[in-house]
Amino acid sequence: MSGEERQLSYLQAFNEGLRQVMEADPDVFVAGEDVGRTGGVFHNFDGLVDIFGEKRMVDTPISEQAIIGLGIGAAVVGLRPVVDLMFMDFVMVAMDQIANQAAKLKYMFGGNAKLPMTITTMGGAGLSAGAQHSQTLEAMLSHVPGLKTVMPSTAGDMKGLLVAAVRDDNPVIVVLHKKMLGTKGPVPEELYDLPLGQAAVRRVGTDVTIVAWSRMAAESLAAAEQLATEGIDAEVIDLRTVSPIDTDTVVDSARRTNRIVVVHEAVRDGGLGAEVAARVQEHAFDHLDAPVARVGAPPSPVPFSPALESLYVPDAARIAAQVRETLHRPMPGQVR
Amino acid sequence: MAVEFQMPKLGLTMEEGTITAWLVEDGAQVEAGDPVLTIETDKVESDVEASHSGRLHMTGSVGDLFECGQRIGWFLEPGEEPPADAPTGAGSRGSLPASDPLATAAVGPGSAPSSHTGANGRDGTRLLASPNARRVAADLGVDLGRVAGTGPGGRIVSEDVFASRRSAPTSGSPTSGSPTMGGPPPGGWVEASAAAVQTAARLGVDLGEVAPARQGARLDRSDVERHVRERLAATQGESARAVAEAPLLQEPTGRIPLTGMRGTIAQRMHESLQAMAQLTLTMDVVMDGVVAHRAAAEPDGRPGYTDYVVAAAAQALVEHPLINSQVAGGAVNLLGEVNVGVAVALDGGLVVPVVRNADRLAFGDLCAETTRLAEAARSGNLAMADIEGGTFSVTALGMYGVDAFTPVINPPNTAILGVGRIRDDVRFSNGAPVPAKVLTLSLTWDHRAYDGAPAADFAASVRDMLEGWGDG
Repeated sequence: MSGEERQLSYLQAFNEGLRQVMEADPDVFVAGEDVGRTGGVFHNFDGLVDIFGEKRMVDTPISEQAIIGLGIGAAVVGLRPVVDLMFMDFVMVAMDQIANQAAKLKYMFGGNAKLPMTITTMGGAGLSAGAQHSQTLEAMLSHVPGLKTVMPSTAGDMKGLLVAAVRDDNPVIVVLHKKMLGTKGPVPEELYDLPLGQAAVRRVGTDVTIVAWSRMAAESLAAAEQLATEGIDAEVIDLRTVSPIDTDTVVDSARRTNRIVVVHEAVRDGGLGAEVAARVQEHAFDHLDAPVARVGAPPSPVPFSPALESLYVPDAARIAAQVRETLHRPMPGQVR
Repeated sequence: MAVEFQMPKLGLTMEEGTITAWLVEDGAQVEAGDPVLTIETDKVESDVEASHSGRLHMTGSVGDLFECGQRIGWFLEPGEEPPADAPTGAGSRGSLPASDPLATAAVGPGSAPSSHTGANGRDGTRLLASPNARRVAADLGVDLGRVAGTGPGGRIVSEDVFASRRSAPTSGSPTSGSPTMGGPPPGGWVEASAAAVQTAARLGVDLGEVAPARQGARLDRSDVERHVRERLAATQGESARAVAEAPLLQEPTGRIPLTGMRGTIAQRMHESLQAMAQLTLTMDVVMDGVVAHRAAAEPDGRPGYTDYVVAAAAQALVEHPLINSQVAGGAVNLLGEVNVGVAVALDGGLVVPVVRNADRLAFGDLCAETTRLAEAARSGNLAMADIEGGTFSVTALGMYGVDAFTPVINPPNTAILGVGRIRDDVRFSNGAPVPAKVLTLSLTWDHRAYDGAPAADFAASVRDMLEGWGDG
């Protein structure tokens, strides 16, 4: 790859990846609320209408069912739609189209239908956007066979995974984290994709493995750096794709570090942490020195109050605290 | 239900702590988080908070030393008595439930620092051990009932199993001290009879299960060792003595049991030759420079010839990192620290204490260290740190008139250097014979790890260093 150290924000990486894949493939178009002239409420689609025109940057009415339905229809007749749901919370409105149509069409047609549709949406809390605009709902999507879900945590992954999603012949949901939009990182200039379903080991360690994705991957790395000062060498795995899960990478790590802490921003109950934990015990039971631990949000809607919201969302300190507990180590300077 | 109060682990390097004060009365009602005692580690003094709520029953006394994870008290519910099978510091082995195979080795002779109570992970009758600890214990043939748990609630984790294998003596008794060579056998240890109780407790062995050599006799260290070897033989189905045996040719006139140090040596040497591809080269060294250097020293402070070889080998190991290695995990692992073991013959066996960082010691310091180690070995006072971690060994038979021999590698090293006698020989200088003091080095190496050329290169470096001794 060229452009080694060129830095882009997570948002710019999304925009550039989409632009390049649209330039490369005339079958790709975007549809969603305010994606055209407005450039998206998060400016993620800025400037694209000037390049591709309103026929490829389609502003839609406020009807999520219709937006996804449009995408399914276009995809099944051979186009490569990118349909935008603005807030991940709105997945719920369109769930019939997503779960009952998009996820099942290929199966229902005996494999004769292709559905190369990408759904883009903004997930996560942290902007005091309230209970209906801050959720992290990947567990609901993962429960439906036929859907893939990616949740990038870096700018470079953002571009590569978005392009991979567009190029994939199955419905893929790309969940951006709305609090990471300004996060910068190295992004190659050319068009490229990254394999779906492949986790990234962000930090190699020996004592414990933290499995996370999206913004929690970044928080886990911060936690790992703190833990390193206490003599705890944590490995950090960023799943990147949460459906399908890269079980091999996680299990290989569990066999080496013998302890797993899964971290997600979603509510802990029924979250994907439980799925990761189950796979670890299925495949590495005899290598565990501690129960697989889960860090997640409490069973509550996301608070609107900034103070409560910051308490609600897991952070590096909570992750580090859980790692210490899993390793049965005290806080620095404290005694259990 | 009674909950154990354990010596906490305050940091990665903390291994044990001494109680310096109880801040509450024995039997006081405490809440989780209340500061209830102060402890001292090798680094700091610190308050310790109650880990649970309840009535605090103290089992550890001020001044007692505990390993992390060992019980120092109980949190009891109202009206509850401390568990009966967990004696306090006054417990004796006679009071142990010998029939319970999972019985905690809760022994301790009164006020000795041996109030190590061997807390292992137990919850009622269930042994608390992580799946990984069980797997590792099965792989290593370690009995989990003998491992002290340091995980939450005393759960045994894999690190505890590894630690139990490494556990060994802190001191020995001259009466029966017989450290093994180069480290403890799997699941075994070395300790003197005077400290048998303390050691067994420390290692989590239930002395109630150990049979004395004679009915009614006091247990000593060799009893503990024999017990462990028998357990290992039972679980692994093999031991040094399990090799197919031929019937006795004659009625023996004497019998030396392959137990204790003899058994350990038998097992380790047999394993060494089975596991490695060993072969030996010899190389002559002109020792005139060394002989002169030694003669110049004070008569009562003269280094041994072996000391010179140890020093030269340590330097050569730095130049030849391949030789300072260990075969493990499908690889030859180069080891950064140069720790040279020096074989010391004892009655009925030998031991290999280790000169740590031998490459970084000044020659005088190195000689002092080998002297200290040899004396400690002969008096049975070697500490664990003195016998573990060797990365290479030197063994001498020169004092018996031997020129060259084929030493057997001390696992898990990949080489051992034999030292022969100093003999009068002849070298030619410009065609004319010149008398010379000559010594033969015998280097055994593991051909799996490296070939003859690097082995010979290493031997040549040792030779050059010895031949150039005193030249600067």
